[in-house]
Amino acid sequence: MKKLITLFTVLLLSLSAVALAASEHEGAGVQQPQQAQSGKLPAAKAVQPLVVDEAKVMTQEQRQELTEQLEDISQRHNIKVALITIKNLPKGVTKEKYAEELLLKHYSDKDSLAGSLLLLQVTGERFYRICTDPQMRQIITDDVGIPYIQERVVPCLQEDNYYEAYTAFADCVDMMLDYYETEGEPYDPFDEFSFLALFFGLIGSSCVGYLLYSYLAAGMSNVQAEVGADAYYKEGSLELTHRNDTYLYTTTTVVQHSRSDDSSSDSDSSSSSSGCGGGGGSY
Amino acid sequence: MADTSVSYKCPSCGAPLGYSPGRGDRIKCEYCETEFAVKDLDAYFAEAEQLAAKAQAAKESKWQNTSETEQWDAESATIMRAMTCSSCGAEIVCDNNTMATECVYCGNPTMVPGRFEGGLMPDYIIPFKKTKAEAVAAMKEFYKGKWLLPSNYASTSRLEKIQGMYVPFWLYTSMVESSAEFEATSSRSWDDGDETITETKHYRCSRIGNMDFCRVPVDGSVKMEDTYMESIEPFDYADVQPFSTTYMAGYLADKYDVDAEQAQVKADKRMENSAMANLAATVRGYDTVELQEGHINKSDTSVDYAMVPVWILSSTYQGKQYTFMMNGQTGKFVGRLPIDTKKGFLYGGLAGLVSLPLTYGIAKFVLWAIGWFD
Repeated sequence: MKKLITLFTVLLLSLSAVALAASEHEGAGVQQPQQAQSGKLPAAKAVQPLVVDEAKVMTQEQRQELTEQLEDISQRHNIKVALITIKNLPKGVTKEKYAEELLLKHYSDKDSLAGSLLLLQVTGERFYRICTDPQMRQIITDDVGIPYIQERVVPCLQEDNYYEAYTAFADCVDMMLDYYETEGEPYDPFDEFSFLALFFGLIGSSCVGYLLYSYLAAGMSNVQAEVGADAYYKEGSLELTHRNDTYLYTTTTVVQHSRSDDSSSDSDSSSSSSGCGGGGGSY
Repeated sequence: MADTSVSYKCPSCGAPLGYSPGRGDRIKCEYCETEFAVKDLDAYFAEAEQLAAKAQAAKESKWQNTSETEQWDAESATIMRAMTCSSCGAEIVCDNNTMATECVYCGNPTMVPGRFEGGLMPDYIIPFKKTKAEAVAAMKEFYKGKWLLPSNYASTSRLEKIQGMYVPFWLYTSMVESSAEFEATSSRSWDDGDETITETKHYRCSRIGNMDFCRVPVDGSVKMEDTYMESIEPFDYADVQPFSTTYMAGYLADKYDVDAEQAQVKADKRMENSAMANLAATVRGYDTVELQEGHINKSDTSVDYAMVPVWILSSTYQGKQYTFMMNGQTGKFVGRLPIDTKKGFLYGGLAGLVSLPLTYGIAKFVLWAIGWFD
């Protein structure tokens, strides 16, 4: 009987230990980047904070304000938008894969959310990655939406104005989601009205109008002086008696190729087999 | 009193004779339908012309004594001449250059003697091939498709005069030796990493060549605007005929008042331009060819004096005169039409408005491409 009681007690303790261990394991997910540094991919957790500043680039107050902003956006649009900063990537894991795993395991829920995305910044390697899940990718597209965000975020990152970069990221996401909900199509900055383009367009259309007028006015007269005598040249009568071509000199001109981005950053966009999208690069 | 002019009347019935366009070397009386060869009529009227010339000379010598006391002032007397119509006896007044005209009273075709004799005798004539009706039709055709023509032009403009006229032209024929220096370049480009390198080789190309120009026309009339005369070119010299006054019957004709030497400057320039273009065409294998200097020397030159047929149409619109001309041989019609500026603004504005979406899109795209679109 004692043996049975002892065995039952050990069993209970073992179960408790397993449960405790499991609980501790789940709790460690908040500090996901620390685990990542040990070479493992992030583990899943039911509720994740939207701001994980592992690299400690923000003040507590900034973290709080940013969290509130991201939570507000997430609630209003029924999505999850997250920001994660880490100092270094775990060895053996690609940047794209790491960001994607973070997103899919901790922030994506295709059943209850309209989509999710995150901005991952690796401060040690001065690298960033914006990752969208398959749903969000339909709203913030790789070819237009991501470059639009990059144009606003990367300059701030380059100047180490990180908090400014994060709020710019959040503002862009909020605006693009608003646009999608209103217009029913992904935001494309090219569709926006431009007064500058209108100004140049008016100049261009004025030129078109003037050209048409000139063409029509020219047709009102066909009186013009004749400068040559081609009509009276005896065809085939030309007989060349002297022909000499002398090489004089050579000139060389060199034109530098213009670069699309003259800063030190580079960027790319990519998609994976999981259907996630996004873009990123160094800054 | 002897006749001081020669009226071209039918030797058969005495009706006025006029050359009908496109009838070659035949002339037909419209009344008795007798047909004559041009050369036969020339012979028939030759004696009458000589007599008329003498009578005219005698009359002019009388004028010189009395001109100061007559109503003509000295200037008018030197440029105007009067003669007697051999048909009705009326006084016909014409200027010093008139070779052929018609009596304003009886409408009889009249030749002015002494204006086409000796050195004033044209070498050739290109007879009219196009009729007055064709000239009017060509004018109506010329209006078509002219968007800026005032809407009321066709209804309110008045066609004042349509006149067939033989205009004096000098025809220059020459073998031209031309020499020219050209600067030519050939370029090649290649990419070398971050750079595009363009290498341009420069050459000096010299060419000397001979070529022939045949009957380059320059009008010999001060009255006729040069640009109009050049605009109705070219002429087809296949139809050229030895000069005969018979072809001028029924038309106006002036003798030259710009002599061959004066007109030659223009012919030389035209031949030089064409010669340089022909030489430039022999500089091949280069990307650019630019004329540096060129000269021409002429040899085997000859100048012919020819009468060229032109239909002159004058119309007035809102008090302003508009002149049109048609090559009486080829039918090439030239002229300047009035422009309705309101229509111009309307069409230009509409074109601008219609093209605005396109130009806006292009501007947007360009701004986007250069990074100015925000």
